[in-house]
Amino acid sequence: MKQIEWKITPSPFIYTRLSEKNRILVLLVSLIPMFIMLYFDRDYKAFINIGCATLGVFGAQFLFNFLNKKVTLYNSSLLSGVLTAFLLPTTLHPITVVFVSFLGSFFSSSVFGGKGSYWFNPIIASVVISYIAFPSEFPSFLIHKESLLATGNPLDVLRFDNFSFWTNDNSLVNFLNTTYFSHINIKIPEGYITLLWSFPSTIPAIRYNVLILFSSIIILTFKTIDWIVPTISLFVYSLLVYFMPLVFSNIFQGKGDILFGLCTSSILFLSFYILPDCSTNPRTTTGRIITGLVSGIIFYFFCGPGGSYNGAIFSIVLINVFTTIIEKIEKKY
Amino acid sequence: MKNTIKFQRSNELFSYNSIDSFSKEVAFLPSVAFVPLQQHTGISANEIFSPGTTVREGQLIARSADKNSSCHIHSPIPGVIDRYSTITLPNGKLGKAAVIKLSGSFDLLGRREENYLWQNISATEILRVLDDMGIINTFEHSFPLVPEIRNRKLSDSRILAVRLYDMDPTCQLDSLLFKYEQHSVLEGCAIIAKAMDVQSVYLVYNSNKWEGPDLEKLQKLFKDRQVLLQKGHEKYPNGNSAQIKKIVQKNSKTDDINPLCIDVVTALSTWEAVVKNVPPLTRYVAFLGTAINKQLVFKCRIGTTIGDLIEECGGFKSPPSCIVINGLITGTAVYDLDTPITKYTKSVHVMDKDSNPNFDSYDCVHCGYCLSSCPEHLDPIKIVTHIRKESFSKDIVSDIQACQFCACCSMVCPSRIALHHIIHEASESIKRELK
Repeated sequence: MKQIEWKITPSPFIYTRLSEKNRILVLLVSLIPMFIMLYFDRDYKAFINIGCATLGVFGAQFLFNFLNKKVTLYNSSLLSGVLTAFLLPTTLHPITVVFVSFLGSFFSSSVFGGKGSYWFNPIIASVVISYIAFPSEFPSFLIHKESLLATGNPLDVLRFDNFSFWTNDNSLVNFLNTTYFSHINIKIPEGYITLLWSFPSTIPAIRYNVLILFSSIIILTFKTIDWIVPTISLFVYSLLVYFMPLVFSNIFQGKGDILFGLCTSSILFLSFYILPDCSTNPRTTTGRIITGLVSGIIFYFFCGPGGSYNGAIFSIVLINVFTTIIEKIEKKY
Repeated sequence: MKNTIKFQRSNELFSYNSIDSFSKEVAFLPSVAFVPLQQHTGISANEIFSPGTTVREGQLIARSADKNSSCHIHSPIPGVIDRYSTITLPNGKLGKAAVIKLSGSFDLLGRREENYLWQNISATEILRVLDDMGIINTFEHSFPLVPEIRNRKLSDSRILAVRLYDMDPTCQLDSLLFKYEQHSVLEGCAIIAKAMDVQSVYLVYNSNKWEGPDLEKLQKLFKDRQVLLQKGHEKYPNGNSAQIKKIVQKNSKTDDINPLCIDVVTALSTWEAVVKNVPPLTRYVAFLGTAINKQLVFKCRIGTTIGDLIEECGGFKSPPSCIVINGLITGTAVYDLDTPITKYTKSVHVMDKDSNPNFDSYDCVHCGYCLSSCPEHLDPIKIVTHIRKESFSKDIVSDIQACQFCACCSMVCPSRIALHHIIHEASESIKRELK
C-alpha cells in the first residue's frame, strides 16, 4: 500500500479562528515592538523580569500539571510570564518576581482550576500579591484632585510637578502642529508625544502606548481577542473622562483629557491584553457588552482622569468579580 | 478563486478554493478496481462470486443482504475477481472489497446508449429498477434509496425536497452537477417523484436567482405535481436535513411532515439507472486542494483508487499532509492512497501542510464562540461537558437530539475540541438505547 504519514483527525478541516496555540503566538508577536523599545531604552532589568516571571509561571504550571496529571499549553505560561513582567515594576528584585509570578499563577490555577476555569486573572493575582508585599515599589498617583482643580489640565499638573517629559517632545509637537494640525485648526499640547511614545515609568506596560495601539490592530485583525469588551470599556471610560474628568464633579464638564486617562494608568494595555482573557469573560455577546460597560465605569471610578496605575490593577480585580456575577445571571437565562 | 461563506449565526466567515470550470473529464479505466461490498449506510452486501470468476461490466457481484438497509453492488469494469480483501473505505472505516482485474470486453462502454422513456414506466417498475441498480441517497447518510421511498409512500403528505447545492459548500460537486447536468438531474427528480407519487416537489437552490427552466416547463416535467422553487439559506449551514425541513415546513400547512430529501447526485444516478439502464458504475468526483497540480472534476469508475486519480490531476504539487473525502467541514480524513471511489464519494481534498490547520486539541478556554455560532442556539461545550460526565438530564438529551451536526461549533473552537463529533456519538448511543 502506498502510505504516507498524514494527519488523521476528525472533521472539520477548515477553521474560522486561530487555534489557541497560534492565538498565543500572535499575542506574543504583537509584543515584539515593545521588546525592541525596551532594548533601545537599555532597560535590561525589564528583560530580567520577563525571564524571571516566565520562570515563575512555568514552575507554577509545571507543579499544577504534575499534581493534577494534566497536560496544558506551556506557551500560555510564556505569555502569562511576559504579561506579568510587563505589569510589574522593573525595580522589583528578580527573585521577588519569580516568587510572586509563581504564587499568583499557582494560586489561580489550584483554586480555580487552570486555564478556562479561573475567574480571577492569574497575572493580576501576581501583581496584586506584589503590590501588597511591596507597595512602595509601585508608582503613586500622578495627579491629585487639588492640583487638577488648580490647573484644569492633567498635563499642566505634571508640568508643575516637574515631571520629566521626553526631551524631543517639544520640538516634535511644534513640528506636528505647524505641519499637519494647523490645517485642520487643531493644536496638540506639549506632553502628548511623551504619553504616547515614551512615558517614564517603572511599569513597562505604561511606557509605549502608541505601540500598544499598533499591537491592538494586529491582535484584532487576527481575531486573537474578542473586540467587544476592550472597545466598549475604552469607549465608556473615554466618554466618562471627557464629560466628567473629576469623579462626582461637573467642574470641567466636556474638557477631560481622554489620552491622558488612557495612557497614564495602563488602561490601554490592560484593555487589550488582560481584559479580553476568555476565562474571565462571559460567553454571550450580551454578557460581554455588559462587562465592557461595567469595566469602563469601574476604570473611571478607580482611575479617574488618569495617572493611577494601582487603581487600574484593582479595577481588574473588581471587574473579574462582576464578571462572575454576570456569568451566573447569564447561565440562569 | 476563493469563495467566502458566513455562518447563519455570528459573523464568522470561512473561505475555500472554488472550481469554476466543469470539463467533464473522464478518468482512465483502472487496471485493478477495488469495489467495496458496502457503499451505503447499513448492512454490507453479500458477495455472489468466488475469486477467479470472470465478471462483465455492470454485472451484479454482491447482493443486498437486507431489504431495508442494504443494496446491490455491480462490477464497474469487466474482469476477473482476483480476491476479496479488507481495504480502507472513503468513510474512514475498513471494509471488504472485491479486487477486480480488468480483462475482457466492455458491455456498456463504447456501446450505443439506451434511452428509455421513463414517462411510460410505472412507479412499481421504477422502484424495481432502482432497487436492482442499487441506488443510494447521498443526501446526508447514503441510505439505500428504495426503502426510503417506500417508507415515505405510506405517509399522508408525500413531499420530495431536492437540494440543488452542497450540504458542505467546500465539496462543490452538487452545485456543479446541477449547473452542467441540469436536464438529467431534473428528470431524475421527476422519476423519483413519480416512483413516490409525491404531492409536492420542493426544488431548493441557493444561487441569487433560479437558473433552471421556468415553472411551466417544470410543471410539465413533474406531470402537474405541485412544484415549488425555494431559495435556501445563503449562510452556512443551509443544506442539511434540518435546514431543508425548515424550508418545507414554512410552506406546509401541517406540522408533521417528513419529506424525502435527495441531492443532485442521487437524482443523476436515478436518471442513469432508469433512462440509460446503467447501474452506478461511475461517479463524478471533484479533486480539490492546494497540494494537487490541477483541480478537476472527473467522471471516474467506482473502485478506482484516489492515488491513481491524483496522478491524473498531475500529481502532488507539494507534499500532502491530509486527504479529505466529501468536504472540509463534514468529510473524513483518509490515510491510504488505495482508498477507492465509491457511490458516496463526491470530493477529494488534498491539502498541504500550510492549508492543513493545527489539530492539537486542548482544554476549553471558555471563549464562548461555540455558543454564539450554533444555529440551533445550543450550548455545545455544556452538552459535551455533560456527556463526558455521563449526566444525561432531559434537557441535555433534547439538546443532543436538536443538534444538526453542522460543525459550526468545532470550526470556531480555538481549542480544537471535536464538539460535534462528541455530540454525534452521544446522539447515536441515545438512538441505540431508545431502540
